[in-house]
Amino acid sequence: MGVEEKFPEVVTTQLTDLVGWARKNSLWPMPLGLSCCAIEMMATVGPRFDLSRFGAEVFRFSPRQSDVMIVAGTLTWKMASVARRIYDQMPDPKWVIAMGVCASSGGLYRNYAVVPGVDRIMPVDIYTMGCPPRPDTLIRAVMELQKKIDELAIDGRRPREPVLVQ
Amino acid sequence: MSAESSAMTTAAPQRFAAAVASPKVLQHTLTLNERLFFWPFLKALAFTFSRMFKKDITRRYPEQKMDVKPSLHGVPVLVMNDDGSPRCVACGLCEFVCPPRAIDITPGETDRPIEREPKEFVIDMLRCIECSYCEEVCPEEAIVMSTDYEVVGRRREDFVWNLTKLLKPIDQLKVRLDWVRRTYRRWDVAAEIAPPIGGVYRDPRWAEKPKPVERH
Repeated sequence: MGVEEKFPEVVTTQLTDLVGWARKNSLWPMPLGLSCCAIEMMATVGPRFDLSRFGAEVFRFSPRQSDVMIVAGTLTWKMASVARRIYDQMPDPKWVIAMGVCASSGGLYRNYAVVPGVDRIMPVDIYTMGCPPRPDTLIRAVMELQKKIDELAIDGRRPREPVLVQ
Repeated sequence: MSAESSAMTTAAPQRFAAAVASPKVLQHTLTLNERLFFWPFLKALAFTFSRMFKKDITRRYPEQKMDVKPSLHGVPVLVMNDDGSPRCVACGLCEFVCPPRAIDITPGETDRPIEREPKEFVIDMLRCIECSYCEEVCPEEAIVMSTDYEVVGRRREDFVWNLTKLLKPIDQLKVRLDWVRRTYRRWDVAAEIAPPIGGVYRDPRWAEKPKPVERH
C-alpha cells in the first residue's frame, strides 16, 4: 500500500500489534504462592534474576490489578475454589502460568487431596517443569507467554486471524 | 492451682512496671536530630548511591546461562550407545523407585547380547521432580540427569517424552557419568578403591569396623 512508500519515515502497524506489544511488555503478575515454588518466584523478582527486565516485576496482591496469574505450588482441592475465585476476579485479558510440576500435573502428590493439574479448574497457558523450577525457568515461561500474547488477537484470547494482503 | 496461677499473673506486671518506671527507658525525650530522622535517612541514601559504582549482580538470563555444574539435577535422559541403541535393559527398577511414577517402560526382546531392551520408554516431564533416584538405582548407568533444566511448554502433551526424544549420545554425558560413578560408588570404581575380597566388593569404610554377621 501507499503510505510507507510515499513517506518512508512513517512506520505503519496494526492496532493488534501495538496492543499486543503493550500487553506483553507490561505483565502484572498475581502471585498465587502456595508452597516452595513461591520462594523461587520471589528470587526471580530479586536483583539476581530481575524479572523487571521483561516488564513483569509489578507483583500485585489484588487480582483486580493483575493480568497473569502465576500458580506457584501445590494446589489442594480445599484451596481450589479460592484459586478459581481469584482467577474469576482478574480482568480480561488474563493468562495463567502453572509453575512447577505440582501446579502443572499434581507432581509428586498422587492423592485425593491435591488437584491433578491447575488446568482442572482454570485454563493454563504455560506449563513449567521443575520441582521447584529455577528462576531461569520462570523467566523462560514469561518469555514464552510474551511470545504467545504476540500471536493473539486484540481481545487477548483468540489466536490471530491471518491478514489478507492484496 | 488457682492461687499459683494468680500469683504468676500478678507478679509479671509488677516486674514489667519496674522496668517501665526506669528513667532511662521512659523519660528519654527525643532530640531534634532523632526526631528529624535525617542522619539515618542520609545513610540509606548513601548506601543506595554507592551501589551505582559496584558491580551489577544481575545475570542477563537468555544471553548469560547459568554456570552448570555436573551435579545439577536436570531433565533425565537415556544414555545412547555409539551404535544408536539404548543402554537400558528394561529392568524396571527406575519405574519402581520413581516417587511420582513418571516413568513408563514397555520391555521387549532384542538380538543384542543384553537380550532385553525397552520397546518404549516414556517419562512424563510434568510428573518428574528431578530427584535423580532413577539415576542412583540404575545398575546399567543407562539413565542420567542431564544439564538441561529449562523446559517450558504450552500443552501437556509436549511434556510426555518418548524413547526417541530421551536418547542422548554417550559423548555428551561423559561428565555426568563420571560424577555418578564417584558419587554412588559404582562397582567398577569401587574395585579400584578396594579390591574384591573373596569375590565380594567391600567399601573401605567397612574394613575399619567390620560388622559381625549373625545368622540364625
